[in-house]
Amino acid sequence: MLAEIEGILLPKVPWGEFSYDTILDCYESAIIMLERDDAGRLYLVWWNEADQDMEQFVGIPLTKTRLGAILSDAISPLNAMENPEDGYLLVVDIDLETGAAVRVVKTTAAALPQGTLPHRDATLKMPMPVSL
Amino acid sequence: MVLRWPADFPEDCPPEEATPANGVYYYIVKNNPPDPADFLSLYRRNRRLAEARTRQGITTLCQTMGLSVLADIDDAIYRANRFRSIGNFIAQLVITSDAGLILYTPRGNDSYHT
Repeated sequence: MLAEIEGILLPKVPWGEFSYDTILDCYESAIIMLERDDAGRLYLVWWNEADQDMEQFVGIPLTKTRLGAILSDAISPLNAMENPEDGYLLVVDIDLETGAAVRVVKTTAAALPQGTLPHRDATLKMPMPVSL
Repeated sequence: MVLRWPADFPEDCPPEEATPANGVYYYIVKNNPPDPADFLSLYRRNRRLAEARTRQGITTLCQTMGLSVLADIDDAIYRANRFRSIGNFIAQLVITSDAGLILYTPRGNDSYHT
């Protein structure tokens, strides 16, 4: 069963349905991708965990400048999650059968279980996606 | 040796271009020493998740029925550090042809094989 993350419940996912347009990495089920909301705001979305019914993602709202810092290894993904530009993260629980978001929470990295955040040594060094 | 595949594998799985496995690969596991459950494919571990990833176009059903291994240990370390819930240990696998078939299925320009 997925951990129920504490925070402020939101009525919907800011970026709407997942587009899966810009995948930065994947390993079996685990993926890292970029999503955008209607206002053009970027979210770095990081797979967290799954059970047999749902999967959970962490979304970091961020500017292209901050994304560039992560992709150039100037800021680690863990640092980006612990110190998000806007002071919060989103945790989104998705129903595996329907793809619908069943729970969206505005929270911080401190609310996430230890051992699920990226390791301190984790990097996401890669070129900026051409779509940006 | 004749290799037989489970009855629920798709018709074109493994793909024709897959070759007999041979070599050293690295595989992320949850347990040290590895448990047999560590060696279940995504499809066997979590069929709904495997089907979701297939619907999303991120992988194919056939790939979810194989094991994801990496030829370069650094690629395995990167993945294990990024996705800690998939496992904190890296098993070194010495694979021979009786283990099945393997195909280079890169994510970008890495050493990902299935």
